[in-house]
Amino acid sequence: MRFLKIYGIFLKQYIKRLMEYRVDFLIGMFAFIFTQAAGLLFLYIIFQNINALAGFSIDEILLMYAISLLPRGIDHLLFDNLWLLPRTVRQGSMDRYLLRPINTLYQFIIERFQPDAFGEIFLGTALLIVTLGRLDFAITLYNITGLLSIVFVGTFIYTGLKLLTSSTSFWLKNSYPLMQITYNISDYTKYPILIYPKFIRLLMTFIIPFALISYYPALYLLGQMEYLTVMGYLVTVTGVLVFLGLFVWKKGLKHYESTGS
Amino acid sequence: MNKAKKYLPFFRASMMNMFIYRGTIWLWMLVDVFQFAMMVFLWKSVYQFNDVISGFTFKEMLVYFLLTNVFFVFTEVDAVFAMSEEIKEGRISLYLVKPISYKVRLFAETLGRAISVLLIMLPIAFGMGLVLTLIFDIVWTITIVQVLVAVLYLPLIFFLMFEFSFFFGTLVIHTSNEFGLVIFMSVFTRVVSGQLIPLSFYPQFLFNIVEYIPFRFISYPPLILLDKVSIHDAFIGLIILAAWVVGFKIINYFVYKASIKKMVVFGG
Repeated sequence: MRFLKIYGIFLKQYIKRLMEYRVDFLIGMFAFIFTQAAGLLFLYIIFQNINALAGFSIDEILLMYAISLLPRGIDHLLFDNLWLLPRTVRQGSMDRYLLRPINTLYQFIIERFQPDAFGEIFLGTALLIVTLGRLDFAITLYNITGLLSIVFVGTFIYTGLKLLTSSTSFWLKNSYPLMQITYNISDYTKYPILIYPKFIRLLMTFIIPFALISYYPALYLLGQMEYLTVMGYLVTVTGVLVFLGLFVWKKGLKHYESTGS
Repeated sequence: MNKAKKYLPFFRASMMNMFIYRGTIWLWMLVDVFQFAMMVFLWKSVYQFNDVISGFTFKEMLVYFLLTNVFFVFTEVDAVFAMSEEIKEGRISLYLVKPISYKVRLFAETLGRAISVLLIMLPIAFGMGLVLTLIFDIVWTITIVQVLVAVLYLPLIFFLMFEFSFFFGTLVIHTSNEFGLVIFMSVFTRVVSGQLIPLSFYPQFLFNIVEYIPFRFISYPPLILLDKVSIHDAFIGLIILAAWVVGFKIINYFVYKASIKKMVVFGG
């Protein structure tokens, strides 16, 4: 309850800021829409020349693309501050959070609300509606709940991975490349993972499991996979990931030495 | 000559600065190598049922992307970040009062960075080229003339991108979301230059648009080396590109002049 109240106070501040810097917000949002639009353009052009990629039509691949944008966007909106962890640790600014009487991780995360992410969320939602329409998807309460639950749990794949990789900055001087390389894998799970060799497929399913929020949910929506199977994998893998992330974060925090000054 | 000498220390300092961080740069290049490997898989499945797409074979596509990645060093001009930092922190005023040109100094620094990144990158690029050649049996048929003409393009491409990013840098005076601006700028360049996908893949209407803006010349060096652009066309392209650079310079001159008056630096 207390946590929610604090979040409310922070959110109010952001919204005030947002109103003040409206142009910044628009630039940020359109920048992310534009980035994803470039990805879509790439797909569109490729499909001018081929009919199917690993047996999937363009609509089916767009579906994977759309599903993957939603957890990405939500994580981007709420947990963006993790990107700043390496810098915070390096500059010794972690002290400030350690001194306050609320959970350190919670404080750190709520410090930033990233409205740029609405670019991804809007585009993902629009694309999802269009592709589901084109694929004659039966809209039932069961299906919608299924999809939403996948998006909800899937968001924590991004967050868990970011937490895990950014927490390495308590030991490493620069963990940005590590964060970036894991994050960038999500750019390649928007395509059917069948195009990759087996070990990469395993990597994308279990280790850096972005396929669980694009390829597998699409199979579920296309009626080629059971909901419970997808959800089972998703919950297990995400759970382990978040647990690992929290573990490394806690260990890291203990290891934290601040800077001299 | 004396004028250039003034800026040499900035060039050298920024080069040395990059070499201090060569470890980090190598790490970042690992990210690129990894992305490249993933692209190879993607293209392999795209070419599963086609030998040639829009005039490119699979092997040519790999060479194209490898070369584009290398030459793109000259387009990743980070003048925007440098400018936004100086503007936000107010340090810009220190430079404005010195008897050196703000823009030329920035140019010297940016060039220094680009050249050191290229030097650090070359061994990796050669390594990747070798691996690709061995795995996919690629036959390289590059002539000396092609290399010479391709190299002639590099300074002009660098000039073009510097002017382009200087333009966005001046916009930072009006907004503070430089991160968004940089993303916008880099995605735009990727799309209209052929780094995303060779421009010959574009449908006609898009191709028509791209034809009228100068960024398509960025992918000319790889295309020249792949013999997709004739030497004759390449020379004509050089002239057009040079004209664009001059055009950009003129626009920037006025935009910069108008913006710098609007700038407010606090305290300091």
